Amino acid sequence: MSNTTRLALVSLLLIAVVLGLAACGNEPEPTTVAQATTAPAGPAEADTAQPEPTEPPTQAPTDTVAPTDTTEPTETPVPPTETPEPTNTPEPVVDDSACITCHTSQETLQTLAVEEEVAESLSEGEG
Amino acid sequence: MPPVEAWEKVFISDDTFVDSVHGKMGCITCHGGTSGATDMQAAHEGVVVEPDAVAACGPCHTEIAAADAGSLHSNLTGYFTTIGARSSEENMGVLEEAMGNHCLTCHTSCGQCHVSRPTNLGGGLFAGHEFKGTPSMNLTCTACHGSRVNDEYKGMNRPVPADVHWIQGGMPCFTCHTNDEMHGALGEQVDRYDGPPSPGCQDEGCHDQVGPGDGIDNHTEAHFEAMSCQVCHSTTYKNCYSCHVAQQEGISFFKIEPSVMDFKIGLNPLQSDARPWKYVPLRHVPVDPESFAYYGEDLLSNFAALPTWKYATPHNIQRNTPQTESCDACHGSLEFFLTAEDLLPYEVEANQGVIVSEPPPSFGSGN
Repeated sequence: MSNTTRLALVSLLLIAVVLGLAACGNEPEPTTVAQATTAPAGPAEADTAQPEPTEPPTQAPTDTVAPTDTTEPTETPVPPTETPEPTNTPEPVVDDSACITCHTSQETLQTLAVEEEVAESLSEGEG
Repeated sequence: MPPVEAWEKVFISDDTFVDSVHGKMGCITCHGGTSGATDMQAAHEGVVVEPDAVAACGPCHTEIAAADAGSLHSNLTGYFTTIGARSSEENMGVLEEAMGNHCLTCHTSCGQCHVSRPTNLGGGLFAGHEFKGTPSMNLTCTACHGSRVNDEYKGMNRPVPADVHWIQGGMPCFTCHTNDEMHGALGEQVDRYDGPPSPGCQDEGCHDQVGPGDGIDNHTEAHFEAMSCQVCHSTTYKNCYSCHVAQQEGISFFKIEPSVMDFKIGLNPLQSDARPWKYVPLRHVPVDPESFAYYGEDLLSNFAALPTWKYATPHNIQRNTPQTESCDACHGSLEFFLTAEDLLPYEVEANQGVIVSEPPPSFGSGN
């Protein structure tokens, strides 16, 4: 076979491939919402040539399977064992200990208690 | 009462109180103050020495706290009743100010009976903050009711003997004066003799078997109808005259004439179905037309509306008294009766309804 003939056959083959691919141009674009749970079935026809997308994809193609929401966690989360310390305004706690400490101590009270200044009574007679 | 030093007034001497029912409530719950403060002044900011009956005691002692609002011990309604009757509406504002300065400090509260001495007498915990269900007679009741009731009851007005209920019976105040009476649970009163006698001598379990036919000569039907028990069975008691109130440099004070020991039977100023007797003992009360003159002129503008010799129940009961020695003690003499000659000029009009002009007639034996 001459070179000229060989070149013609290759050209015909290329034209045929281009026409074949053009016939596949109406297939749906890959969606971004459908999450495949199983590997997509391969095209019935030869997929040796991936068609050019008409728009740039905004998300990974479906054949790069994303993890689904229904995936079970492998381990049950363990709650924290310690309550974190409050960092801002602590809850008010009524603390009577200072009252009791002083008011049960005779020595403290004798030191701190102040006798009321009694105004000289001006009253006369039995009350 | 013996004086108490400042430190002792607030000393919780028995620290088991802290673990008691009341102690576990915590100091600040009732008394306020500042939690966690470490110096005395800061700790006492907002302290309420005398917690409110309804707010502090009411959540647990609901019925008592609610009734207590109507207790004469708490609201001193008797003062307003009598002073109001002797005055007029336009004077009451000034008189209430005067009473606030001089009279109303005598009111009591839950704590002043069950925890401490009365505030009016300096206050102070009487048992290390322990709550006494039954208050101390000497530190509570007679702390206020001292110069008349206590002295009569315990025989301090010598040579007048003590009340037989005390000297022989050993009965403290609350034997006769019940919780319900003290807490106002018997119903609201306008003064302490409003309603039937409480306590009454013939209450169940007391002298309920005493009456005509009980074997005592003088216990006749006529006597029981004519006289309260005290006419025969009480004796000389204290009478007070002319209390005048005033202020000097912000200090309130009073001046009162020396008391007079006397015993006077008069006509019953409170005669009613509950107190039907014609004759009762009368005690002179320390009011006169000028008692509040410091606060304004003629404030007791209706002075004669009430007698100055008032219905009395002296606390010096005896089985035998001077008036029981003979029939003539009452039926042949006016010695024991209040007459016009006993009245001072300012009180003649006020007492016209209670004076006796002649001895009660005797209708022979059995009267």
